[in-house]
Amino acid sequence: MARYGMVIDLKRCYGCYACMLACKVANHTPPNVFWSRVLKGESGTFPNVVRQALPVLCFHCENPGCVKVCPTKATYANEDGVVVIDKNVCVGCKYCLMGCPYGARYTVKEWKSYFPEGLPLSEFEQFQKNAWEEKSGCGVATKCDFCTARRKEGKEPACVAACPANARIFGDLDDPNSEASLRIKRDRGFVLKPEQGTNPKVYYLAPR
Amino acid sequence: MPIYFEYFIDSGEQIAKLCDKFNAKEFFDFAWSRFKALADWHPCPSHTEKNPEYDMYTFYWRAVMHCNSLTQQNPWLDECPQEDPYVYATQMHWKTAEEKGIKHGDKVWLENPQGHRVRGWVALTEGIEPRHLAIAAVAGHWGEYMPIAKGKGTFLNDLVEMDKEHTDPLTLNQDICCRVKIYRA
Repeated sequence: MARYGMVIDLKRCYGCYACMLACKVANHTPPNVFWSRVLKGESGTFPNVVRQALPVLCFHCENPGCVKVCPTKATYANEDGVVVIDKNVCVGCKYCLMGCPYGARYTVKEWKSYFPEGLPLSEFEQFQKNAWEEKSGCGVATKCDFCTARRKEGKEPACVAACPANARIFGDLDDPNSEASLRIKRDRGFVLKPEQGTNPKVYYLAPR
Repeated sequence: MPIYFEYFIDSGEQIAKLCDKFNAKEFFDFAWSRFKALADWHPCPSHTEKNPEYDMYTFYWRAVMHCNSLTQQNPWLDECPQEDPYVYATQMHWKTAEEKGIKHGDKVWLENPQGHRVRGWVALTEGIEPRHLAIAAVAGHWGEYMPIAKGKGTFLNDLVEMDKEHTDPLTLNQDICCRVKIYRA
């Protein structure tokens, strides 16, 4: 079986948020829920300043903190290494939110509209809400699943497909000839917070 | 890179004829001297302001997700900059802010020499020239029927003066760089 992971080239990423939006569209996430996010920071002193974008998502760790703490085994790594949540088993205790060192998980108490209270949901919002409840639902933990539904159709995750800079590479880390594996080896891919011991499967390539 | 714009000479002669035909002497006086072929630099009022109180220059930049003003009303595009500390803020160099007693997150007024002022909040950064203020454009909506956009960002347009002194005679473009003073609200 494949062991799926991702490589994000920080030299190419310019923080356009296309991945964040594509994820929202593909997975119907509610307001304030971002399975894929882009953080921004800066370093240096004027005039030598660099602003860097840092896309983050669930890292589908090999030693996931969220799985360790889940009391009902609702969250688990499936056979291709993707950490998923069974919404029918999850009781919404939020231990996994605390167990994840990367802030990749959310729970949604209630699907709220973007627009002021009192206005009825638009047709599009109703569609989004229905799709969300079918996919994930309120009251349970939710997070990126590397677009399982899209992969079943032979497509890449939405964030990978949407990136205009080709900054994201998705692939089988067990295949030494996959582009993801080759880039990690050639360009010395690194992970965030290695000291946590979670062994993330999303690698970054240094911006300079 | 072109440096000799011959068509400006022809355009100038056509403008002169039209001004003569419609008795628009005032416009002729305003514009005629600029229709020359060689590029020249005429400082706009923000570069000739003598009052030392107005010591900051504002300029606008485009946030990647907001290319037209209506994008501010799109809830998804509005959500993206929640993680971005700069899009809805007035960016200011932290040293200049320290001199003026302004901290990160403070609400401020930006006021131009004509007395027009706009409100915003400050994000401190190293990534800006110390005498400049950066404002993401197409923000600062105030309309009641744009609830997503309303109240976000700074309405730069109110600092841009719509008069002859702030208009380029060749292109009729406005001077978008404004000289302002900044103080806490």
